[in-house]
Amino acid sequence: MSPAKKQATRLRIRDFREGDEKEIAAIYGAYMQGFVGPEQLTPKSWRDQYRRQGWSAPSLDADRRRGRVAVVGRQVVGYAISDHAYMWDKDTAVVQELCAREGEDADGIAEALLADAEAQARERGKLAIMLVLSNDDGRALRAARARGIDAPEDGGGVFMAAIIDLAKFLREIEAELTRRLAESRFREWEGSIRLSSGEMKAGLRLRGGKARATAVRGRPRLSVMVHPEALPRLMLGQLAVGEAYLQDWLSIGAAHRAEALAVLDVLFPRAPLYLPRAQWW
Amino acid sequence: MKKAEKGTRIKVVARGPNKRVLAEDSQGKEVSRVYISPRRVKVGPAGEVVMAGIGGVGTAREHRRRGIASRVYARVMQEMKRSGYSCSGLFTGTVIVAHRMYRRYGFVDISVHRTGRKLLDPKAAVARSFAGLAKRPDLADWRGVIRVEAQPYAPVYLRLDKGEVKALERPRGRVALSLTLSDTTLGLLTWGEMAPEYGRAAKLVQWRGDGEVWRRLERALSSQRPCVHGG
Repeated sequence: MSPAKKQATRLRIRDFREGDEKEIAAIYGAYMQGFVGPEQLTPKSWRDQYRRQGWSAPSLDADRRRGRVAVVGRQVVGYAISDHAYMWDKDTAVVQELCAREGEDADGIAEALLADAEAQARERGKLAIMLVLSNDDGRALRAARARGIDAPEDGGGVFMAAIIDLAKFLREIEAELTRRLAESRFREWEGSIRLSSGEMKAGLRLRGGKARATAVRGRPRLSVMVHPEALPRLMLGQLAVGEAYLQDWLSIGAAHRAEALAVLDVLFPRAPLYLPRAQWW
Repeated sequence: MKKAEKGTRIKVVARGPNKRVLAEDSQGKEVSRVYISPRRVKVGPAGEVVMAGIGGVGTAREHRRRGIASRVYARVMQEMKRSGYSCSGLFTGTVIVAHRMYRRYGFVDISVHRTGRKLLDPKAAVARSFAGLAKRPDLADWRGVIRVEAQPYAPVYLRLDKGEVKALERPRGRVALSLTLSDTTLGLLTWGEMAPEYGRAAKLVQWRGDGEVWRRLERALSSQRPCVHGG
């Protein structure tokens, strides 16, 4: 028997218990690691999020069975949170969060949690089960498919964003820009970058492996102009630098254009996006 | 051409970090509003921005198409800058009128969500989706059996009898109308999100049987379509 099969036979799903939040927050943190979008949560902030009355669902304190936890032995390996009082459609159960611990049988755990959410929904007399999926969350998409949940590509709902102050935005993500630079082949690259988009202007200075958001005076090593429609998508990792360049949404002034594009690609990479349903506003 | 609404004032009400930008008519009644609240959004493993989360957007039906929402929104943009936000985000639908207005203020589509749905009791769910329709004037006086195949589920036979709907164990009597469509299309039609004419023209809905019953059903579906959604 494979280790994954062995684990599946020992997998048990139970109601949420106080204290689970420690392992849940760790699973959540690991699951969301590579995504743009989700809040960084501690065990306390995760628990607080569900202590509050949701805008459509009762709090986890009022309805403990909304939270279901997958365990192997005593170890928490995944969890799901469902909403059984969804807005105008009281016949539908909505799975708001579905996370499995990374590992060989993560897909199996997610699928088991979804099957359990379905059973819970039936028990409560619901006629349908719903799951809001990110195009970038491969695991949830696979689990949904395996459970026969039909998810058309365009659900009609959209998350929109605007950049109001580019210089401030870059200051807020300075640490992340430094991290991206440090992990790349351009960690030795030094110089200033001037970014402009519509009426907004901002600058970055790369030196000693660090990125700092600062006003750029004089002639920068690299100047970039981004079309305002492309700016939020580029900043939130939803548009690749190369794609923006080919689409004429991004123009570059630099001595070595190919190198400039590669540096920008390191600083503003394409990244998967996931906005957990429970954190919508 | 929009008619200017006289005496409408734009106000900002703050409660801690949360703000409500609203429009009041000359009697002091709130007719339009937008909420702004801080939201932490992760940008990579080491980065996090505080985004101005826009929500609770709405304008009273009788005050729409008068430029009030645009005035409220212009103030929202000012307030977000004044509060020092670097960025803003919101959730909306791509087929609602507000989507165009957000674009005018610099918002762009970042990601489209996929909503996955599975019917746990297809027979009861399909019957429930016809419950409101059957009471519409165009169907309320009709009696007969309709076959609905909401794919990927098995066909369901519904008896409509003067405004009431009953799912049948097996088809009995003449089937007046047979519909074939996807479960998603059925949802969109019965929630008023899709016009039946569109569904038919786009070949999303196929029907066979009595044309008069189909026309009644089409009128009933159209009559519950709000045409303009809020949001």
